[in-house]
Amino acid sequence: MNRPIGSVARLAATALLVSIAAVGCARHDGSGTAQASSPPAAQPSGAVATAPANAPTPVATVADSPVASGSAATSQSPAPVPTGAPAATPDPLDSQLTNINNLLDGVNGSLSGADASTSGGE
Amino acid sequence: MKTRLVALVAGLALGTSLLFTTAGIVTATTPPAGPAGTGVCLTQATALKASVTVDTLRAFGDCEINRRLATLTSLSSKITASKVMTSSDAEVLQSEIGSTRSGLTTLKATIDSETNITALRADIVKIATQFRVYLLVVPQVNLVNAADAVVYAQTRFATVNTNLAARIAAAKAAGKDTTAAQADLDAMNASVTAAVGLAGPLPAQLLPLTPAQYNAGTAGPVLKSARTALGTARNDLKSAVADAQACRAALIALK
Repeated sequence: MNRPIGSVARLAATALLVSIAAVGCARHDGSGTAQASSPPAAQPSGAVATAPANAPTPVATVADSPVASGSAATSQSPAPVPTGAPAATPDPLDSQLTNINNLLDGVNGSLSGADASTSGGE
Repeated sequence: MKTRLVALVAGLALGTSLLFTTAGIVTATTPPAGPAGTGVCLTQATALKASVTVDTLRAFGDCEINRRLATLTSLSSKITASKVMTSSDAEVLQSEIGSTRSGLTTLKATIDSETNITALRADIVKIATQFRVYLLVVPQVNLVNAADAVVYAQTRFATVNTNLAARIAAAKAAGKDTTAAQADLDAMNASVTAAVGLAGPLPAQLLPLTPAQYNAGTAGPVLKSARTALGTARNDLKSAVADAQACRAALIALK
């Protein structure tokens, strides 16, 4: 008499567990689907990273050197994110004179190139 | 003709050894560069000196032409990469490089099909005399690039001038004596003007030069004069940088 009741109870308990598990899986799948359909979290930052490559790079804004070095992205990188400590404001004259010195290095390189060729003979 | 050929081979060997020495000073562990480098045709030159045959002549000629073609490619890339060369100067130089490349390619085909030693000798001499890649084209590209860089620097100094002039004006408004700072700024601008005055006319003098003019002895002095002028212009710009720094120091001393 008791055994059928025990079997029914076990059956009911098993069904309850299965239904709880099914509900849990359904919620998990739902959230997974939502994640898959939404844009990846990395995408916005990727778009930001590619923006400088697509943006025009006027000569005047690139660090001056008579020969392109391929470092335009570096020289045009945005200002660093400010930290808690206030940093001293750099004198813009420093970068302006650095650009001119880079130009002078290029002039020296071109003059050396001309000298090497003529001293080497034909 | 044989004398000219021997002189050509000897000249190439001498130039090669000289440039080997120069390269050794700069980068002792770096072997000679690829086909555009010096010493590339040393083996062919040695073989030619040992035995003048159609094969040795052709091998030497082909090697020297290939070396020049590689040099022209490098020059073309340099022009393309330049951020200071004007588009009109770049266009003229690229055109010159293109015609030189075309001429050398045609000459190579002639050499490759030539079977007469006397004719081959004449063709090989033309590699140098008809094109003057190393004595004319390479200096042209480098000197024009340097001249355009000096002129381009003027715009950079204009920014510096604006910057320093504003500081001088502010100091003056605050009742400071800005005489020294203004003198430094004036000196900077004078140096820049002098440099641009020297470099500005050079591309128009350098670009029309031809191998024929070099062979006639009229292009060499123009190249040499341009080189001297650009050295002076470079020194003027260095002085201008020093003047700008002195100006700033003078302003800081007023605070």
